[in-house]
Amino acid sequence: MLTIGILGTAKNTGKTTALNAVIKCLNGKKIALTSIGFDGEDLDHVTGLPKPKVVVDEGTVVITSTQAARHSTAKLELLEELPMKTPLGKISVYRVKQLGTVVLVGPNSSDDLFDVIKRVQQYKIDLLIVDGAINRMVPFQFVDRVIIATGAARTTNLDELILEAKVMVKAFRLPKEDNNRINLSGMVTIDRLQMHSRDAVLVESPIHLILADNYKRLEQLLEEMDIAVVRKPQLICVTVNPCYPERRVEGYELAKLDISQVVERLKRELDIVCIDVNKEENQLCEVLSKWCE
Amino acid sequence: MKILLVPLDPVHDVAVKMLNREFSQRGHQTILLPPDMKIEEIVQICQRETPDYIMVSRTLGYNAAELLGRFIDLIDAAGLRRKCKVVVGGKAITKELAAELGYDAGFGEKTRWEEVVAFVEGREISAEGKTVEKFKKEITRGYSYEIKDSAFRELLEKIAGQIIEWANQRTSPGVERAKIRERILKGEDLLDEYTELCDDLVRSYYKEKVIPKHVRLITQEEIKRLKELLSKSSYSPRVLRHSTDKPLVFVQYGTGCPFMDAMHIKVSEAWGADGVLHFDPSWGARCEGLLEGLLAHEEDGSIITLENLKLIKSALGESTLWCVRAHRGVNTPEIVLLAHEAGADLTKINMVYGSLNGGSDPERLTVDGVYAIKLAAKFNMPFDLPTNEELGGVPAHKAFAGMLAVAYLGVKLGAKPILKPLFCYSPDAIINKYMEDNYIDYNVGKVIALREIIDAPIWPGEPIGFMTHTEDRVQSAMTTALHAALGKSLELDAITVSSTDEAYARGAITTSARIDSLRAIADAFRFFGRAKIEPTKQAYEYAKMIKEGIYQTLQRVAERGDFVASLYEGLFGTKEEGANPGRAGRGTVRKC
Repeated sequence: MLTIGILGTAKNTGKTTALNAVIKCLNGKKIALTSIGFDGEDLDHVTGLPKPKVVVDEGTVVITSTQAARHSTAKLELLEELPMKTPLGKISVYRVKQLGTVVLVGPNSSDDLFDVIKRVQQYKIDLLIVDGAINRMVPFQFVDRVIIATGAARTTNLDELILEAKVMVKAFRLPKEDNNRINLSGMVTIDRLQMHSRDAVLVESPIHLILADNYKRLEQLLEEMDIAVVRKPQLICVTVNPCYPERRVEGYELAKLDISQVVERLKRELDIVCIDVNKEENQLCEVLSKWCE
Repeated sequence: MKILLVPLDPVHDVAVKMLNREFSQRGHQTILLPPDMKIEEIVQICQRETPDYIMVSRTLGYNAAELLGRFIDLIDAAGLRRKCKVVVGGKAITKELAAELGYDAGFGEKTRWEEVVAFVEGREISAEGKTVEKFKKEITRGYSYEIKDSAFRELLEKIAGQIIEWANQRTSPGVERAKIRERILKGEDLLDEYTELCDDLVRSYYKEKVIPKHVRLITQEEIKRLKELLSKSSYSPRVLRHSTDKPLVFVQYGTGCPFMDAMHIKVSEAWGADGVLHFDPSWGARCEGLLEGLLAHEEDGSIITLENLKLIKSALGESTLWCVRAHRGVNTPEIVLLAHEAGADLTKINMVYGSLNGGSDPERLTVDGVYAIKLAAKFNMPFDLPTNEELGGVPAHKAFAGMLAVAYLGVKLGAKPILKPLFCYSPDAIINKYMEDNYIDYNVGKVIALREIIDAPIWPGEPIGFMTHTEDRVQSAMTTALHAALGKSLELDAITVSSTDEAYARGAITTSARIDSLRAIADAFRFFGRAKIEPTKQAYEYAKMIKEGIYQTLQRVAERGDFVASLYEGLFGTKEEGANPGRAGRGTVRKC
């Protein structure tokens, strides 16, 4: 079983849109779905803007909480109750009996996601797709592949957006090796890295690095230092969402930015597949079929 | 337990300080961090201390969700998720948001300390918390109905005596139908006798199954769906009052559709209403005879049939008081009968209002009203007496004279009347500038006057704040809440309140507009507690004026020696004042 995570850099960066595209592209495979947060709600919990629905076909396996399962229109058959909880009840494994929408509230920590991945092996699934939540990403240290979803919702300053995406991609390109390195397990702050700037260091995963709040400094350190990781998912591609919630006198409204230069520059400077999910679903399918064989 | 309290906020730390006090008192070890610390710094403290619980407090502003997301990610990266439970609390936090943010639990605005403490101590506690127990309250309990002034007693005695004597010799199709219906309910087959006394519309419904225009039968499928919906609707009982026992809060329903009514009732109950009033359609009041079956129509007021009433009853909460309006039409006695049969607690009868502003003929409604009051007495159903003719322009004292005459008649017939003065900005008050300065004095004057005359329950409506509402829902909720507070201050027994879109709904009112009013009232009650609203001296002047006006009106009616003639002749309100004797049922009374 292969696991794919959809890692967002902020709210409304297009995680669920990417998720739906992935489901569509991988039509024919035996799929399981979950989320490290809350997915499939009608309206965003913060901005109140409409959210994309998650529609699932018969046979799909869904890992979600009991309360979330009740709010799904898809008919769900309970397969197994798992020994972990969310604020919306216990997590269980379900099989979709009849097509419909699902609300996904799954394992929200690295440890829980790790356990879920182990537990669902028994269901003979080809692919487990894990949707992200807000800007949270640490649980994805345990998946095989990731898609980074970023966009105008993270920042409307395009230079900043490009810088961040570049730093992330670079972090995911760090080597996986553990020979004679100083082990910096746990949280890695910029200060902690700097203290070891002359050493060969080992951090747990690229995600532990990109939690830093100073990407400019992090980029420098990535250039200068010898850093390796214990584990890392392989990066499939970066998706960029031009839409973002814009604050108005009465709540939020959906606004759109021209992000073509972001896509272009990331492709050019990093040789990474970069996609506007709203427009280039086909391209996503192509990349996925390559990565998911 | 070891608890780390984190105000993840530049300034706000009240909630964590209060939790700190609560947890410390219960013997837990707490560490309270100051506000405005760097997130990484907080995580380092978490690593050092490895508390059992990390409790983060944050008001949701710009980018707060991302900040909370990053915090939980750092805790995760530090390998602390299995060692510590991480909890988020704040005004805008919901369970859903906590799930999205990846926390182990989330506590929002309505959280009580006990819930958080119970969570930390691993005890189960219902999310609803302390279950409030609600009981049906007897509004009329403790009232003696004593007339406090012998001069008034004499007049009321004379008027009531005349009505009883007059009515005893008379009957009407309405009274006869009630008698037949009573026997039908006992199992006799008297449909022919019944339809004989009905209008064509009702007769052809029974005989030829012709469904009246705009009316439709409710399907079995709809009933099934309603039952499902009702079984799913759950809420914990809620009391609107704060530190006082009075007033009970009633809402009116009558959407035309019993299902919509049922849902309006459930929403109102959930938001704290103590009782509901059934409003029937105006055509039902003018048409001789009642239909049967489950019926809906798209008009104001819900059709009265035994089946409709029973359906409504099935939706009512156990503690909810239920009043079925009977007062103003040609089916008054029969409605009291059906209301009792369906399990109603209260009914509504006032022949004066019903014939001067409700469209029924005074003679007919007097005969029917007397019989209806007798039924109410027999069934031990208190009845309320609306004085909404004041909205048509009739001065309050004349409306009150009519109400007191019927109330006293009720007492003599063994029934329990409830007085209903209006708390409103009435045409009479506007013209005479009674409310130029404030809305308090004149309403207080009404209550003082009534209390000086009789020891009886008082329930202003229907609804309070009439004519003070506008299309602005916040404004409407505000005036309703203020009138409710005045009712509370006067220690009145009950109030009827409108939704905030009652006058402007352009069709059926909405449930959210009901919530507006109930929510505002709860806060008005909370604001005032046992504190009183102080009227000016003018209130006592008004009380004196109203009392004198009532006395003079009763005197004239008593002198006239004929209650029905007094209604026709404008003693309870002239045509110029807006009192128009109705025509429905005219000429149908006969001597027996």
